[in-house]
Amino acid sequence: MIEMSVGRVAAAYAANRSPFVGGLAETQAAASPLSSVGQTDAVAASAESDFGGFLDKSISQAVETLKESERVSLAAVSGKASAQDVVRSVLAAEMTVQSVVAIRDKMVQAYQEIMRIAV
Amino acid sequence: MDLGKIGFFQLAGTRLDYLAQRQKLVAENVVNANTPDYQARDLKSFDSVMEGIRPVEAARTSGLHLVSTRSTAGFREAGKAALWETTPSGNAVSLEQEMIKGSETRDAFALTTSLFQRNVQMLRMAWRNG
Repeated sequence: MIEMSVGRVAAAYAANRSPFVGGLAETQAAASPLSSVGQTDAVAASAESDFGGFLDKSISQAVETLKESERVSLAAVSGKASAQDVVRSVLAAEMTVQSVVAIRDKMVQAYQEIMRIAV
Repeated sequence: MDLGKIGFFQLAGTRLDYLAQRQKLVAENVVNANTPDYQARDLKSFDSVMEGIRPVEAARTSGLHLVSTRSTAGFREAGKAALWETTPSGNAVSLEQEMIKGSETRDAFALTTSLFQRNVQMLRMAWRNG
């Protein structure tokens, strides 16, 4: 599954914005209840990666999960994998596909919304 | 849409064919449980299919050659199946052994079909409209 913490994403996103808007985002993040959970992560995240890097990492993690699931499925079909292994990896792959598709849909939706803005 | 072009579906399809063939042999064995001099038959393990070992077939180098009457899609039969017991009449079918083989086949079939279904579901999910 994709490892995702809301605080991390917000911090990575804020780090990628311009200083003025970034300051605004930070004050908003501090006001939200989620910030206390992700605060320590957030500092580390903004130091080590930007939003694009975070997405990159998550996507390659997702691809890795799917590959693992396929490997286990092939072993199971030829009768060499235990049932619990198969269930675990297939469920993980399914959840990953679901989350990736959900995120993709959101991104397309956002893009369409931006394109609809009358200039 | 040809699912056979995707590695997993191709293998799963082959596995299902194999299991169907094996189930057929088990049924034949059970039918002949009282036939004198009948020996239980079984397929070679699925590993030999995985290694790409296909049954030997006669090559047709001319259009005049007769076509083989044996089905080409078959899997190899084990030369000497592991037999449990032989009755005085020469019959070598152990119903217990056939039951074990039958339930093995059924379990593998269920696992393969559910995996197949899950993978199709994932594909469907990916190309659904957002």
